[in-house]
Amino acid sequence: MEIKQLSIKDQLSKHREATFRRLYQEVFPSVARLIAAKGGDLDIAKDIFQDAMILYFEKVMAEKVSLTHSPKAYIKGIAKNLWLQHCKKNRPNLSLGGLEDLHFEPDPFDPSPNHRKKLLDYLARAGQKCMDLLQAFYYFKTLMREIAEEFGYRSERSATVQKYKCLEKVRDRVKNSAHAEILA
Amino acid sequence: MRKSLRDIQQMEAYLTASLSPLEQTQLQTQLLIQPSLYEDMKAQQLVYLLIKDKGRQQLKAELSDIHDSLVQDVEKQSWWEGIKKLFK
Repeated sequence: MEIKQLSIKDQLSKHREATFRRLYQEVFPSVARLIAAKGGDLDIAKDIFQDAMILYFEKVMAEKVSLTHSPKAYIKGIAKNLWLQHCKKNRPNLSLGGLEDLHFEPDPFDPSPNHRKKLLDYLARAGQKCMDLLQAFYYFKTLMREIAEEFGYRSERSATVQKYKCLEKVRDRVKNSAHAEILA
Repeated sequence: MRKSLRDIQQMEAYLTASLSPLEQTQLQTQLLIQPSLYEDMKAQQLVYLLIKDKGRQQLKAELSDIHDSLVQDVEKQSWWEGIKKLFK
C-alpha cells in the first residue's frame, strides 16, 4: 500500500520522515507566504512552520484532528495562531513595566522552560533508555507490542511493567532534583 | 506488579481523569492529607511535561534536518528560490 493511502495518523506514526518531508514541501510555501505578507522574515516563517507541524503531529496522534480539514488547511491555521502569539509576545507592554520588582518563590514542580531543559538534560544523562521508552509510549504513541520488540522485552506485559518502573525512577529523580542545584 | 508501581498506575489514571468518580474523590482526599503523596503527584505530572518537551525537541531536530536537506537538494532549488523570493 502507498503511504498516502494510509490514514494521516498511520502515515505519521509509521512513516514519519517521509510524511514530514512531503508536508514540508507542500505546506511550507503557503505558510511562508502568510508570514511574509504579515511582515515576518524567513527565519520566523521557518520556526513558526516547524512549530505548527509539531502541534499538528500532536493533534493527529491524540486523534484531535477533524478529518474534514486537509493537513495543509490545519497546519496553516495553527501557523496563523502561532504568528499572532509571536506578535503579542514581542509587543512591549507598558502596563507590566513594574513586574520585575515583584519577588516570588518559584514552585520546584512548575519550573520555567529553561529549567525544564536543564532537568531534561540531567535526566538524559541519568537514564537515556528509560526516557526513550517513556517518550515512545507517551509522545509517539508507539504500541506496547512494538515497544517490547524495539527495547528487547519478552512480552507486552514486561514492557508495561518496565514503563511503570521507568516512570517511578524518573519521578524520583525529578523529586530529588526539585530542591537541589539542578533547578537552582 | 509491586505496590509502588500500582500506585504510579493509579496516579496516572487520576491525572488523566480515568478513575471512577468515587476513586477520583478518594484519591483527591488522600492528596489533601498526605503531603508526600501530593509531592509524588506533582513530580509525576512534571515527568509527563518533560516527556512532551523531549518529544518536541526531537521533532524540531528532525524538521530542521529535513529543511536543510531540501535546501541543499539541487532538484528542489526552484521550490526554495520561490520561498526566498517572498521575503525580498
